[in-house]
Amino acid sequence: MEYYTPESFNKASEIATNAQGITRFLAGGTDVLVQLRTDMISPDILIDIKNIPGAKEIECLADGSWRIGAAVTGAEMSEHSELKAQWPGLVEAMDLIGSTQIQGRATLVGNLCNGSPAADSVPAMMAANASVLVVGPNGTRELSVQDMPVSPGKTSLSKGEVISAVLIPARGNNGGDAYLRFIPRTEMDIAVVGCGVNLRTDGEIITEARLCLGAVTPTIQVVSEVTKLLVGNKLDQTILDAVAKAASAASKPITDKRGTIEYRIEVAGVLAKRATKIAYDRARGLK
Amino acid sequence: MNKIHVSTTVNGDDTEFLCDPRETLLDCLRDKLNLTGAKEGCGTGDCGACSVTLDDRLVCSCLVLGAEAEGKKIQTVEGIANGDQLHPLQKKFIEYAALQCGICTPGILVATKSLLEKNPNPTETEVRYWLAGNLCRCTGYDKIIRAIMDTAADMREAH
Amino acid sequence: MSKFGISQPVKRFENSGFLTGVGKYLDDITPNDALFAFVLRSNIAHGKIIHFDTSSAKDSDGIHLIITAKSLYEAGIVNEMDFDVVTNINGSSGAAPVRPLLAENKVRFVGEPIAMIIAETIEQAKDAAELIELEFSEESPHVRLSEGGPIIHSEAANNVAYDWDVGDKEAVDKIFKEAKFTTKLDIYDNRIIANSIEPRGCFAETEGDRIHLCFSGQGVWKTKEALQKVLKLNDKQIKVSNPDVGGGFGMKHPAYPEYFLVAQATRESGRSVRWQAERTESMLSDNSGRDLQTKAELAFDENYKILGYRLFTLSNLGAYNSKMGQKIQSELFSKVLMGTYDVQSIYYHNRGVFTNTTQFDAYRGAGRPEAIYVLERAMDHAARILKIDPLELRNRNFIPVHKFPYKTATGELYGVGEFSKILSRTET
Repeated sequence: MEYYTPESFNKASEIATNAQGITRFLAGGTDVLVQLRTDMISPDILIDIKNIPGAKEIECLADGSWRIGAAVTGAEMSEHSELKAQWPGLVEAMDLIGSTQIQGRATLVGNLCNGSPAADSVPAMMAANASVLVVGPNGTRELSVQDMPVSPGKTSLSKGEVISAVLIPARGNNGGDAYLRFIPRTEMDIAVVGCGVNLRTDGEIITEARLCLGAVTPTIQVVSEVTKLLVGNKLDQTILDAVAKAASAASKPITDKRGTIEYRIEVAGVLAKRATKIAYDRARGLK
Repeated sequence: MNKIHVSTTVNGDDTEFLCDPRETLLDCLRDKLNLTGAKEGCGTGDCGACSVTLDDRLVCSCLVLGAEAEGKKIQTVEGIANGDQLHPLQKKFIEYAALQCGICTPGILVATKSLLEKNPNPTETEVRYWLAGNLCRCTGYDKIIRAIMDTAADMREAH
Repeated sequence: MSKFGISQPVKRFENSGFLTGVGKYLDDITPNDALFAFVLRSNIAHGKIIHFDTSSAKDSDGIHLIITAKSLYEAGIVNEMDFDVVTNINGSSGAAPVRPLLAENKVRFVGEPIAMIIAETIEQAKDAAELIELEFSEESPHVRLSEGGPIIHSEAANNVAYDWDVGDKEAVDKIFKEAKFTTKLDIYDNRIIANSIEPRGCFAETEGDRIHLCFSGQGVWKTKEALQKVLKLNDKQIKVSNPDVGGGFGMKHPAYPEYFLVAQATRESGRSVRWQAERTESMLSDNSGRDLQTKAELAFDENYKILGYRLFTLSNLGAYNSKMGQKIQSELFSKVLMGTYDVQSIYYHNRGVFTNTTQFDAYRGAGRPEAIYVLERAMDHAARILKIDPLELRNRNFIPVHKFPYKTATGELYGVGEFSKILSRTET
């Protein structure tokens, strides 16, 4: 295996484009090194992006949007009080991944590129309508997080492409987000169901809404039915019940050691309700 | 295979080693620097027995490559005591019998020291969550938590 | 009252090394020049080995030695591990099929060792393992805790390894027929993996004329005896030691095939040899604990005094008898069968079955926690059925203070006990 520490994303992309054999980018390494260790994947080329300028920066841009470098860790996000105040759901979603030690290394981009249907940060990013900056052999493009997952473990990135940053839209007024996850114990487990919600209100009326579910479909997706239910309405019990029903209906889970199909469908509805309520309260400045 | 030359600081001492790109920081500490305090319990970041700090950030050294240590500052369990003088945390672990077989202890000490440096007044819940990635099969955790809470109280008083 | 006398906490003298990172666990003291051993294991639960060829593996880089069942025979080694058996109800002995160090014709669980590869580096050993040609003819496995199913050993009809009991069945049956109240509880105690944070491991080296085997374990003498027997050495030719051990839990008590193979590898190669399990390997090959299904019945008189206790347990042995395997849910379980209660009429019937899973042996208490768990759950269950306070039910049945020293129904002698007093402390 060869180990590279390029100084720019263009250089990283160039190495990957010209690479023969299995190539992996290394940021936090919490997936790549486990795969290496357990002989699941033995990369020939490993490209460490952590030394690239900007890769470890969290930046609030002039328009109020956020640029989070590809090597920024969960711990660094949790310690950023302004980011946390504006996007608490996103930061909490990232913070739920693994232990303190894992938080010291794991990244949003790594979570996204690993392609797990149960990734915690991805429903929150997707609900926030986040996008990523992709540097490739043909230049740089912006790609919506929604268009990243293709199938379990697969993303829409092609050979030579590397993500340099995550872009989070400006929070704006009267917006709020939330992420909830259910696991069989209190810490250190993988989602049975994850649910991210992001919405905006005008008084009591919801004007924008996105709800995403994790761990209940082969790829993490926006439940568009929920947007239709919420926009233009106040959040009352009838709407919440309808949201739960829509979330359960959108769930196409599998049965495994963490939960059965029936159980996951039920929990998806419960989490959808609760996360929507939290996001609504946050949008209205109640929490 | 190309060996990588790594210059780094371990427990305050400048040091260097040659490593294979696949070798983890844990392997390098144990096999090249003869610092065997960090233990390998799982090799996959689940058990925390290999915990060290890397530029003051708590990590599992089994999930860091040796090559990544270039230019970094590493702290391991060997650096906690000051010569023969045990750190207050180490003394409390003896007093509370917060260890039995001792294999998880280096990781737990490193993790706890890192917590107390960031948060000298943690709640029990905060301590338990902070240590969720440090598994112990002997103690049932309770004595560890009590030793830590008492150490934190003593250290606050000493300030 | 201040603390005095025996059983008071003391500060341990060995702690400071553990706290400063200078503990001497196995991998901390393994000789630097030791060769690496890697174990090729079965990846199927049940089947015949129909093709096995190590010749291209032997020729690969850095390989010193590959130990197989065949090479053990050629070296005059006994390819068998030692274990205890119980005496069946009918007076015969529990089934005693051979437990090989290395599988030869058949494999019976996922993780069963087939060959040990000795190389300069662990990567070379693993690469060579991939070059070993190995084909199975798979058979359907028996993995459920039940009698019957595909036969694992010809010595054990219906996969029943032993059929053991203690107590007077007829007398107890009569008590149940005549009792005022009876209660019945079916209870399952699931399989457990010990998961010591330090996985199993060992190394062997030459010290003058003798072999020194150092393993992460819980005692040396039984392993030394076993090594002498299998490797045909006298007691001057082998030394066995345990370093600091990162968790044993009973699981590290008995000998495992790897220890014999590593000692043999040192003998054959003249070099130090090390083997360290990885976590997945531990999951596959460490002795499991528990996995038993029990039916427990209690008979009471009109004052809720227990008249009799009757149980049947089906327990899992895994694919082979491990050292204590047959004794755990039989003899050891029965030692504390009646716990703290004054009951002399008991009948305990236990049947052990083979399954195509990793073998079972001691784990944290070995049979006794299982027995207490069943008994106390049966007491709680009875209290619910009989609509009596569970503490009251216990108080009525504890061995009274004046009866000590007390001989239990299964022959244990209790010196002292004030169980009501102790229980009362939980009520505050």
